[in-house]
Amino acid sequence: MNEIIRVEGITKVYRMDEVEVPALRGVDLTVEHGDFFAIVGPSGCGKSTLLHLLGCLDKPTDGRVFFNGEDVSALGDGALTRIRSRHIGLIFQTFNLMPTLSARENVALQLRLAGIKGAQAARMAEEALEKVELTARMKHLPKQLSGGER
Amino acid sequence: MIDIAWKNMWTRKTRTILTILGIAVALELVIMMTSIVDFTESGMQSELAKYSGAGQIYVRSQTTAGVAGQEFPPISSILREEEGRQIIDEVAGQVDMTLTTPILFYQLAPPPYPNAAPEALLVGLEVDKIGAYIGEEPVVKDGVVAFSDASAREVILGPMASSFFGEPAVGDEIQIIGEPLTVVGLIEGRSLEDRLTSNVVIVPLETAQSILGQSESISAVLITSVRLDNIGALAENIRASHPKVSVLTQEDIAENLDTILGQERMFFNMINYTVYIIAAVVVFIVMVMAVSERTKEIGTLRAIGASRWLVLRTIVLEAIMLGLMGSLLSIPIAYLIDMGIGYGLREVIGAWTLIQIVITAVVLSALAAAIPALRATRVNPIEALRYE
Repeated sequence: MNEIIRVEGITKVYRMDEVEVPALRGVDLTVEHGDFFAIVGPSGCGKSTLLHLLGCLDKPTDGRVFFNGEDVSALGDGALTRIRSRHIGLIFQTFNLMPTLSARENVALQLRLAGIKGAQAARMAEEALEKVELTARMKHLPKQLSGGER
Repeated sequence: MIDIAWKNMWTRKTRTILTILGIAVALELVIMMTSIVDFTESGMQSELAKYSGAGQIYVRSQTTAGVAGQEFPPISSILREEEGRQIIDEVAGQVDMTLTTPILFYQLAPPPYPNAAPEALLVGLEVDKIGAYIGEEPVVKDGVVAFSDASAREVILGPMASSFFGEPAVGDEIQIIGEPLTVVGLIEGRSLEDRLTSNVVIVPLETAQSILGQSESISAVLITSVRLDNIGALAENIRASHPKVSVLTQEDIAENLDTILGQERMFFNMINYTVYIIAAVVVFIVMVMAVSERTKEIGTLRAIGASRWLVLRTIVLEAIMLGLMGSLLSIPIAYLIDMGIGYGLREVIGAWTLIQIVITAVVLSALAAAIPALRATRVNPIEALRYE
């Protein structure tokens, strides 16, 4: 079975003061290994909300989210954090790199959060940066990198 | 995550340096205050040791309620010399007459801090009985511990008093209340903290009376009993025959020194606690600012898998490093200041006291960072990502 993420009838409703704002209504989706998805839609249609739920950053108001076959809809913060650290990679619109860490340290940070020891994480980060031809920029801080390099 | 905490501090150099300096200056004050207490305590203990077995009694005037029993030496006491000598005559058979003398005190320079001994204390006593007050075997730095006659215009100085008068040499003339006196002897305190001998400006009793314009009055009578087991009875006899005087036995002296020490310790501890709180508030404010500034970073960390515990640890670790560096820096600052003012406090303060101060600073820093750190753990990654 190649399924990684499956969502079943998820609904997300935000409560703002006394007003309920529905963001998602009955979304079903399955993501398998090798899939490449782009979620598009007008502003306010719930793209970010869906990504938050798929990324285990948030919980649905209703419906269920399965990650590697496990229902994560009811998991606590600690368990969701572990899933995020070990199985999910996030690239942000404005990159959100740690401004005090170098390029190599930023890459290694995610590995360290996944439980890989410092020296090994640094080596793996260097290898990854070599692949994208950023060896010369490894010790540079995010502010010293161009938009593309970030 | 010590590297992240360290880099957070290093990146915001100015704020980090100012915070560390703030903590260092505050704790330097704690070191100075603590060393003053240790300094005084050590001196008091040396005085207590001096009196144990000395069998001394001070006969002084009654003082107002609340003051009696607290002042030692009895500087504010005034007795008629005639009455003092009468008391000595009455007890002559039971006391060591070579160490029994009328004595006159006058504060020439106030204490450098509350409850301390005066910086310079004029002590007038009979010329051949100097040992009754400063001990029979004073350490002489220069000159002699003796006067040429009963009305000699001569003076013997203790080390702190000598410093007060600008470190004169033997043979130099110094002005005391407008009167020129020749320095004939310089003594060392029996120890640096010796509360009684350090500040003395010893002159013959007649000279002291002449300078102060009190030809017929003294402060007290210093009596040294021949037998230690007789002190209580001796004191009772004096009280019975002279109901208007107050009799201070060595036990009272010890109690007084202990009371003074207790008050002093309380006074300085109050300052110390306040300074600790100030240092903790500095750390608290800095960490609140740090967390507020880094909401987006903390949110990102949480989003990519940093646990709440890790975030909390990183913030607290940063505060601990600030506290540790500030407290370590406070030690050389305190030493430099002490060298500058020349109190010699650094000779008194022990390594364990410094370790305690560092540990207290580190613990307080961690506690001060607890609230901002808990706030950081509550940062919702989704909220933080909305900065996008």
